[in-house]
Amino acid sequence: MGSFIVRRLLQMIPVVLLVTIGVFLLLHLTGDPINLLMGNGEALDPEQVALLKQEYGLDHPLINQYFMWLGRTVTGDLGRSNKTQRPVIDELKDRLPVTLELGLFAWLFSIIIAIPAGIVSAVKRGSWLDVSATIITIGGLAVPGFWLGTMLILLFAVQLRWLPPFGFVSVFSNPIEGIKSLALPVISLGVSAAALNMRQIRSSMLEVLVQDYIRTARAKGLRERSVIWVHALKNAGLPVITLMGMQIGRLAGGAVVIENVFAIPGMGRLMVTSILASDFPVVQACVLIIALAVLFSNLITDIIYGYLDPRIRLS
Amino acid sequence: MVTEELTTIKPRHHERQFWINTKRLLKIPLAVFGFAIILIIVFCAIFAPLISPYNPNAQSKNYLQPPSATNLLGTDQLGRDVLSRTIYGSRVALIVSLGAISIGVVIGVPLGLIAGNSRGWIDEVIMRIMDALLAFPSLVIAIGLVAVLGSTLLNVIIAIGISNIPFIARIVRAQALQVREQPYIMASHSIGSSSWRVIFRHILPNSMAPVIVQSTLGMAYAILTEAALGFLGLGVPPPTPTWGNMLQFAFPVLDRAAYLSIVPGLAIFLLVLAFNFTGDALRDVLDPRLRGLFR
Repeated sequence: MGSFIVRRLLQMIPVVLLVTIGVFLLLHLTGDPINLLMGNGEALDPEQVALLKQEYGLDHPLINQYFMWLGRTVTGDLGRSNKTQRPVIDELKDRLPVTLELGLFAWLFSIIIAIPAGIVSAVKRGSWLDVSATIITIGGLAVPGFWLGTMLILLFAVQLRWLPPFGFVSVFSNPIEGIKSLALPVISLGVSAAALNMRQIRSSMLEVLVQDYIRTARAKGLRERSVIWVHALKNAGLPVITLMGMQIGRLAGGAVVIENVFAIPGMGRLMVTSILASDFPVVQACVLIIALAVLFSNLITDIIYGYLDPRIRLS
Repeated sequence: MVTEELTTIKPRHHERQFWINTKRLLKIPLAVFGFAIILIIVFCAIFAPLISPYNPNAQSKNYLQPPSATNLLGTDQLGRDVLSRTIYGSRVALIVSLGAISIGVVIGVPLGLIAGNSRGWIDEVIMRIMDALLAFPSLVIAIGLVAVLGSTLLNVIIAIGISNIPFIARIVRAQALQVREQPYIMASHSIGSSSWRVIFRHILPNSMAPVIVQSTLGMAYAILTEAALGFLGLGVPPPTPTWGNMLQFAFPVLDRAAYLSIVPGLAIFLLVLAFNFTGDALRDVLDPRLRGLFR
């Protein structure tokens, strides 16, 4: 197991470097990095430009600039917001936990909905339960999360007045208000992940339920409940775990929009307000952090998969 | 003699297979439904000027009118006709999704073919770049690029297109790796076929089915991403009507004019649903082994 983890970590190094190169090159795409860094589009005279280029190290060859940028990034220096003049890392410190909380609950929501629904769908295949679960899955995959959010606001906040239409209270500081403020965003963000999970659980359960060892388990007189929850789920769960890990990226992308629907002060909202304010250093840092978070969650998923399935770590 | 026979039989065989597949597709009710919706929306996009009751950008004093006989789906804050704007909005949705998938296919297919056929370090380099691209959620790539390049129709297409490349490249590579192990490839090599001939005669045609399926499902995802960008104010800029920017414009008046938010959202939902149905059905018909690959 140890060597498997080491191997996976080594495999990840080039990918992480490529990701950083991609994020670094964003700044140079237009050929006018000073304009992006200053973010005001003002005409600067050549002397000022030269001075700024020196200050940001833009007079060095591109490859040197990359390593200088990488060195600063590794030590947590992500530049300075040109709007607030605060270090970008400080801007992110307040925002990251909010996005993590939203993402975590959306992820849990998708699992809590999907596992029982997927199992019931597979076990009672063709029943009205299965049919309605499938219809909900199909809908969940096609509905834009942010539009679902809008419709939920319309129903629960505007019409029924049960829940606040926007704002954010952390569940960890005030559980009741927190749940109220997060309910709608979590559903809007988690619904497509829940649909994907359910579909995967249903199909892998259907595959497992016809296996010989399930027949054996039934033949030796096990209760149906333990056949399904212990024997079948354990084996059907492997592909689902991969899928759940892969969804971190999808959720991170979705959170950007959902935070803007519900005015949640997380990283996604920061990203969009920064673009509108031409605050490029902040946008760049957010893109980097999201990509690294996705890579990290893929790594964890692979390690868990390798732990659960020896065939993977030995291949 | 033999070659002559082969060249005359081959096209007919392909043609027949096409009709067999089409017949099979038409037996799947959801595929017919999906395909019908796509056709209707394509029709709306092409003939928008003829079927729209009003100019989509024409403002009037009748603002925020609920649906009525004069404006079937009501008017927005500037008195513009919602039905006309929704009809025109289909153009951007279709252009962006088609353009984005074309970028994915045009760049992803050759990359997948090269990676799958070369193995070794070329394969390694290409696939690690694809892994790195996959680390960026499509919306995040799009936001990053739009932040730098600005939001224009072309930039939105490029941004969403880039995120399609790794999915296509991976599928083609997997297919190439599988096909090259088949005995008939060895046979082809042994009668002196060049690598290029093997790639274009055998590996590429074998990759087409999964690429078509992935492209159809990818179009659905592209439509969702484009709508999200539009909603965030980072998509194709107004006054060009897109379903995303219509929803953005409608959001502040949600409590007074809900229909403004409902109509474009339903349009997105229907088109995405249609592409998903069509993609799933194509997968069942063209390549049943691929079940469950949908991202």
